[in-house]
This record gives sequence, structure tokens and C-alpha cells, in this order.
Amino acid sequence: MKYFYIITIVVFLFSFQVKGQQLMLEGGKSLTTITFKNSQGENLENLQATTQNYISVAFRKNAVKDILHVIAGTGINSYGAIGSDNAVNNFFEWETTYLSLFTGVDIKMFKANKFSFYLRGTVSSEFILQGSQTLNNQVFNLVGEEDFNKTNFFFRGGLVSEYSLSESVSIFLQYKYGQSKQLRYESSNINQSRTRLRAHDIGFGLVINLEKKKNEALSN
Amino acid sequence: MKNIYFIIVLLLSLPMFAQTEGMSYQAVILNPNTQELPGVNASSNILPNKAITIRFTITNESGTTIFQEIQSTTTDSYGMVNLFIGEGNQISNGSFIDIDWDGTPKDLKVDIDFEGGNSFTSLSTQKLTFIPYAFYKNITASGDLTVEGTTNLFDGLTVEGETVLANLVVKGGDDIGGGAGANHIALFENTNPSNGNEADGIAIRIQGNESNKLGFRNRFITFYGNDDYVAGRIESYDLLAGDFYESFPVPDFANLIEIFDFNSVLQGGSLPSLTGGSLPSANFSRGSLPSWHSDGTHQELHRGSLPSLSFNSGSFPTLNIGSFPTFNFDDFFNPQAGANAQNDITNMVAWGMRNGNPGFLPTSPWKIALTPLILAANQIARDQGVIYGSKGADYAEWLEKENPEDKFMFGEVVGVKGGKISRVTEGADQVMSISLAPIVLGNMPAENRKKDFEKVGFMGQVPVLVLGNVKVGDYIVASGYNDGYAKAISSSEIQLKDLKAIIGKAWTGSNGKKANIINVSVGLKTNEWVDILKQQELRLNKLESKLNEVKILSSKLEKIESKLEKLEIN
Repeated sequence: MKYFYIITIVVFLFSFQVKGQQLMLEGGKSLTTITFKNSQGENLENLQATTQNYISVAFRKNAVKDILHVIAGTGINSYGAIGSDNAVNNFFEWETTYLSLFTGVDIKMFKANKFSFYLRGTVSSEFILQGSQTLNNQVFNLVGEEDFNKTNFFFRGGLVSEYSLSESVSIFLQYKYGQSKQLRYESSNINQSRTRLRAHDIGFGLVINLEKKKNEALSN
Repeated sequence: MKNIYFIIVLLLSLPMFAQTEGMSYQAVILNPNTQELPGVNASSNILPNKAITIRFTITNESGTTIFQEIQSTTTDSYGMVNLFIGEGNQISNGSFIDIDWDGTPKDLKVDIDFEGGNSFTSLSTQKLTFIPYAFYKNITASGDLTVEGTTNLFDGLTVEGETVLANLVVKGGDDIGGGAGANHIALFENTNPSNGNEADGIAIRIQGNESNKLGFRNRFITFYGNDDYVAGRIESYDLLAGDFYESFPVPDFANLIEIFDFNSVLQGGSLPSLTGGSLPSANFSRGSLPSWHSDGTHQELHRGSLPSLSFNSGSFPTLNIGSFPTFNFDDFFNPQAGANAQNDITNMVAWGMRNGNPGFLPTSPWKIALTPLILAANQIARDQGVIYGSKGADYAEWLEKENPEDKFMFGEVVGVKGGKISRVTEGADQVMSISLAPIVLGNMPAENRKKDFEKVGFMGQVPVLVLGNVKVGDYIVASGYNDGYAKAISSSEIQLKDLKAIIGKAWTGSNGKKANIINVSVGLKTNEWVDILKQQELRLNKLESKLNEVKILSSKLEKIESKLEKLEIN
């Protein structure tokens, strides 16, 4: 895990020291759900997705010939699910919010006029800020619960369509799909229970070309 | 928490009806295992459609098991089980119906097993409440028992101590109180005959109210027919204890006397009178008998003279017609005394209405004046006693039939010989009739011999089958044809030979030649001897009159004979 933080920090610092630096502001909706397999290896059925929000801010830096870009940033992601067990008349719902530190790459596939299309892949380490679980008519605090309290590694991949408004500003629309890494893998070999968060993110963002502004500022 | 079983007992120990001896037990079974969820696991889930085994144990106050059983069942889709404690596989020696619900504390312990009956886990232990006690035997309660619904008693009922019954109605079929065919709805029987101090029977004692003004209408047994038709009644009274007459509002007789003042109503006037006059008188000359005179040579016959009778006419008296009195109604009516008397009479009438008008209620000044005497006489004559009220009107006895095959109808005339009855009235010791509805029926035979007996009216009013016209007051006499019928003979025609066949006197009459049921008083003083004696007296008077005439004639003949003797002497 510490390698992840080292890589993230290096990329983050690198983005400030290398030319072609961009600031990305992003927000959007996440269609999230939770999958759960209990200790007996049985899946929890009838869990439905809920719609959440996310926001993030990141730096992007051109690394290789305007094709490969590295990304590092932070964001707030919310996840949740809703479901019921008719056999025992149970109702449950989860609502969680995580602080995310992520890093990743954008690979430019092609450019048409002012449109640029990227493949984006990120990996994030997420820390729960708040969370609640509703079980029938009871509400529980998920902060501190084993399934949600541990650092959540999230892997995401998707497409980005970017439109250049000017030399310094672009807007983009992106879709990403991602899921978390098993959170309880280390508990025991017997305990096979596993909780995964899954999210479909659809967002809209703004890219500001910091290098150009810097050059303009120098020329001024 | 995984190994702790939760059971929610929704409903326990409802008493069942008599056909099911058990207690209902209803519970929702919760899953002993938690449901694993992301985050917090769900516990206390219901356990639907699961085969389980439940063990019920009832212990007494000391914790000793007095009943234990096992029941296997399957929860429904809501995790619920419905069982009857008492219908499972009994483990204890004693069965459920052997439990002595004597009011001492008892606990119900419930164990449950999810593994096929080999691993019971204690589920609950709870005290049995009053509900099961109410169903089973030996109910012991130190408080009050309030039953708003129907109370069915199928066995003995013992009432001790003061018991207040506002209105007790006992209804039922033939089999209540005396077994099938007993034909009564209640039986009061002393089942401990070895104790000579105990007795069967019903005792009725009602204390007086604050003023001790209870009458015989407060102590009674009434027999009702359909539609509250009163068929008979037995009443008891106790005048010495303040019943009835003492409550009579005796009026102030001075008020009654002073209402009218008759002394000054008639003034003056005189009665008619006769003065003078004389009664007619008769002058009677006996005359003389013819006589014969002889002096030896001359013989002379004197013719005598005939008797003569003459009358003095007398004179009529002078009639003084007198004078009519004058009427003076001044101060004749005393209004104050009248108002007071009206109040007194009103009180008496109200008393009569309250007490059902006992019959002697004074309604005239004369009766009012006699009221104290009537009351005193009633007090002396009838201080305490019992009144039998009945629509029946005679005292009768069962008499044996001379021929058991004979069938009698009420009203038929029977002759009694040696205590046995038949339709033959000639030579009978008594002539009687078959009673219809006696108020008292004596000499009751055994039930299996009743067919050999018949009810015969001894005293009172009995119906009699009578042929021909009947007038009220006629003597009812056996017809003489040994046919069960009677005939009517008027009091003027009754004869000595009829006396032995007299049944009684008719109190109702009839017209026609057909047979009728006549209400006849029997056993009462019918005064037939008076009629016979009157006839005899009339005959004796006629004989006496004839005898007197003979005496007068004889006297006259004696006188003639005397005269003739004198003539011969001369």
C-alpha cells in the first residue's frame, strides 16, 4: 500500500515540475452499488444501485509526446446501495462518503478538430468520512465498521471526451467504471466474506492549461 | 449473540373449549443465527419455514416437573408456530389433565431445538397466569369472581356463606339434577343420609325490610305455565313478624263519623196515628139439642134450637195522617272532616293496591267501622301459615280400581266399595267422581302402579258428568245405571232413598239432554237432610192437622154421646 502513496506523491510533485501541467476540476453522478458475499460464500441477493455524487480536483501532466498524461488528485466520492430480504422481512440501505487520493493516466487516442478522446485509468486510495447503514427501522454508523473503515482501493477506467474552448481552457465529459478491491481479504482463510463497491461515474469537468497562463504571465 | 435464541411469545395459554384439553401456545420463532451484511449484521430475524422441536415443561412451586411433552412443528412463512400444550408426545408420567390446578404457582418452561430434537436450548420460563386456572379443576380464588357471560356447571355446586342472588333462573332439560328421565330441573338431595341432623329440602327465609313490612307475597313458590300463566302458588305469611296487616293505615274514625251530621236534618213532623174505633165482635148461641119428655102418660118431644151466630160490626178508627218533617241540611256536611276522611280512604285504597286488595278492604263507612275488629280477628286466626294457591279446586286421593282394566275419564261417577272404585254405584259405600286437577292429591301410589289407581275427588269442587238439565243448587246423584253418569235432583224432590247416591251439590247448571260437565261441590255440607226433614215436617204437620180434626170430631161425638145418654135417662 505504501508504494501507492509513494507513486501518488511522486506523480503529484512531478506534475508541478514538468511542463504541460493542467488543472482538472470534475464533478458528476455515480451509479453505485455494493456486492456482498458472506462467510459461507453466499451472495446477498436483491441489492439495488443508488445514485450518488462525486467531485474531484487533479493535476494532469503531459508525459510522453502529448499522448500519455499522468494524473494525480483528490476527490470526494459517495457510494451506496439499497436492498431487502423478503424471506425474513429485512430492509437495508447504505450511504457512505469517502475521501479519495488517486493517480492515473490519460492516453490520447485521437483528436478531431477541437475534440480529443482519451482512455483514462485511475487507482485511488479512499478513506471513509462518514457512513450510515439502515437496517429495518434502525440506523447504524458505519465509521469504525470493519467492512467500510479500512482503506478502500478503487480501480477505475473509462473514456474522456475533451473539447478545447481555447488554448487555456477545455471542457470534458467522461464515463468511468470502477470497483473496489476486496476489503476483508486478510481476515482469515475460513471467512470468505467480501464486500465490494461498484460505481459507474458520469461527470463533467474543466481543464485549465496552467503552463500557458504561466507563459502569458511571464510575457506580461 | 449467535447462540442466543430469541423467541417472541405473542400469545400464550388461552383456555380451550371443553372438547380440547390443552393450552394454546403461539410464538414467533426468531433465527438464532445473525444475517451477515456489509457493515452491521442483522440479528433477530424471523425463522420461516423451518422444522423445529419444542419441549414444554410445567413445574410446580417447588420446581418439580409435573408435566412435560415434546412437539415437532414447522414455522410458517412468518416464523410463527401455533401449538396446543397437552397434545404433544408426553414425556412425564402425569398427563396434562392430571395437572392439579389448585391455585399454587406454576411455571411453564419452553425449550427449543433446531437440530432434530437432540439439542434443546432453554427458551423461556414464565409463570402461568389465571387463564389456564379458569379452565381446569380446583379453582381457588381469594378474590371476587365476576362472570358476565354464561356459566355452565356440569357437576356439584356448593354454596357456603352468605350468598346474594338478584335473580336466579334455573333452566334445563330432563337430565339436570337427577339424570335422564328425572323430569325435573333441580334436585335438592342430602347425599349424606348417615348424618341424622341433615335433611333434604329447600328453606326460604326472607328478612323484613327496615320497617318489617313484608307480606306473604315476599315468600312464595309460584308455578308458571306458558306466557307467565300462573298455575299455582304456595305462599307463606307471618303476621307476628309484622307482615301485612300491621301496615294497614287505620283511619281516624272520628273523621268518618263527623263527615255528616244527621241529628239536625229532620225537624218537626209527626207520625200517622189511629184513634178510636172498635173491632168487630161475634155473638154465638150454641142452640139446644132435641129432647124427649115423658111423664108416664104423655110423651112430648122438644125440638130444640139450632146454634146461631151474629156479628157486631164495630167501628172504624179515625186516622190522623200526621205531618211531614222539614229537612234542614245546614251544617250537614263537615268539609274538614270530609277532607281528612278522603285522605284516610286514599291511604287505604293505596295500601290495598300495593297488597293486591286482600278482600276485606273497607269500602263503606260500616266496613270501615268494623276494620279494627276484622283486623283483630284476622290477627288471631291467622298469625302464621302457608297458603296453597292453585287453579285446582279439590282435595283428592288416589283410589285403587276394582278392575285394573277400567279406564276412567275425569268427571265420571264411581262407587267406592272397600276403598276400591268402579262404575257400580248400587250398594257402594260412597259415591264420588273422578277429579280433574286436585290441589292436593293424597295416597300417591308407586309410579309403576299408577295405572291401577285413579284420582277421586274427596272435597272441594270437582267436575261431574251429569245427564239432563241441571240447575244451580240441585243435588247431583248417581244415575243408578252404573254408567259413570250422574243426574240432578232438585231439593224439593230429593228423597230418602237418594241420600246414599248423592255426590254433591251443583254449582253450575246446564240446559239440554246431553251430558255436561257440572262443577259440583263435594264433601261439603249440602243440607240434604234439611230438605228431607222439611218434607217429613210437612207430612207430620199434615198428620197433626188431621189428628186435630179427628180429635175435634171425637170430642163432638163424645158430647153427642153424652147427650144421648142423658136423654135415655130422662
